[in-house]
Amino acid sequence: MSIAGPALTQRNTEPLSNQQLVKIPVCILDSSYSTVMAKGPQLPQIPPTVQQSILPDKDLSIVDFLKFRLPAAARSFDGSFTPSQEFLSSLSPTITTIEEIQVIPTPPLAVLNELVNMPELSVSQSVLCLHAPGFIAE
Amino acid sequence: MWTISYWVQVCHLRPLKKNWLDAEESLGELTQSKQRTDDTRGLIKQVYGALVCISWASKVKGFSASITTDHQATYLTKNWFSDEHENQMLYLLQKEVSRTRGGDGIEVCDTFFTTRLLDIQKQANGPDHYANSANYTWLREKGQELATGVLDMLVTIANIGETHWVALILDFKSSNILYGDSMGGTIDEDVETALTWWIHHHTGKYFTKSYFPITCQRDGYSCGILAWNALAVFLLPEMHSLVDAGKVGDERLRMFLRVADHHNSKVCLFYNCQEHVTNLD
Repeated sequence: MSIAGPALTQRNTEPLSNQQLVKIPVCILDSSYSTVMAKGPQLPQIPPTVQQSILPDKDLSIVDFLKFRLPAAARSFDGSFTPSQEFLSSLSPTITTIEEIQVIPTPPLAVLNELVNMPELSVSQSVLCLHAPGFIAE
Repeated sequence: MWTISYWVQVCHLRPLKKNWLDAEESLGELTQSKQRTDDTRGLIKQVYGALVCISWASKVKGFSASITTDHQATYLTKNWFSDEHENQMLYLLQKEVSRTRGGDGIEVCDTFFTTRLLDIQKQANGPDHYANSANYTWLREKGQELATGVLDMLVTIANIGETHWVALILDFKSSNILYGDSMGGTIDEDVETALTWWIHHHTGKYFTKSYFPITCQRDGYSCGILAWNALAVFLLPEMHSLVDAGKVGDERLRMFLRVADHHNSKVCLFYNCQEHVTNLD
């Protein structure tokens, strides 16, 4: 599975051919929300209107927090993993709804930490993930 | 690209949620337990009532340590207590003693009292350093107050080997160190050395050692709550009694409720708790 968020900037690179997309099954997610870069680190900010629905409100009670669904965690990735090549892409996103984004398992935090520190992040349009073989339910 | 930010936040939220999911699972097990009583059922209902009144994201209010509310989930499980839990309980005990006995010369100290004394003993020039260092001003003041009769008694819970909690009472009126170990152990050698040195430093006396009543634990996780319970019974016998070893689960629920009540008394409530409690029935 492949995932992408809203574009940060346009990048002049050749998109993958359709054949490549078939060989490496991907779906690309996005929404049409404009992205604002967070101050300091190169971390794109979640649009406030989206944040309200995908992350629990800080005033939520513990009982309601327990009911709030979070995406599952991807259990593992296969051996040869190169974040910039495997995840960051110049392709336009294909997944655009919040509902679809919420059911995609999250990569491990170590992978995410690598991604957020990559210079390519600021010029990528989407995030790609291979279909992961197994997930841990919440 | 904000999806990456979303995933990062989810990864940080997941352990918090797991703490509460573990607590919920433990409450479920307690509900099904053969040892459950009407008391247990009532306590569980009250716990759920409290859980709708506490924000998952806030810090625990009313205590010195700045920790998030998910630490409170430990009270609802069989996990070991940390210094933060013991210190919350000791703080509540000090308040109870102040309220019901007007203080009465009793100082309830946090767990770091013994930790500091043990640290001094480990340092080559620790005792010399103690007499002059600003780091130990508070300890010296307490020692002085106890030696001169401003205070009569120091009460605390000490950690032994990072695996066990024991109750300690230093009674300066009767020159006695009282030790309460739910595993039935004798006084820890390092703790005894550190206490004896500190007491002698301030009073020039050597105290006798004895043991005071404490429930014997039958599991591997109840020392923290039993040490507190023994101190509560010793200080406030008309309000507390030694807990049955088979009912420590109930005692942990009671402690969660005490801490939650104190926290809630310090924050504004935005939730319609009564409505939530009714829905849980």
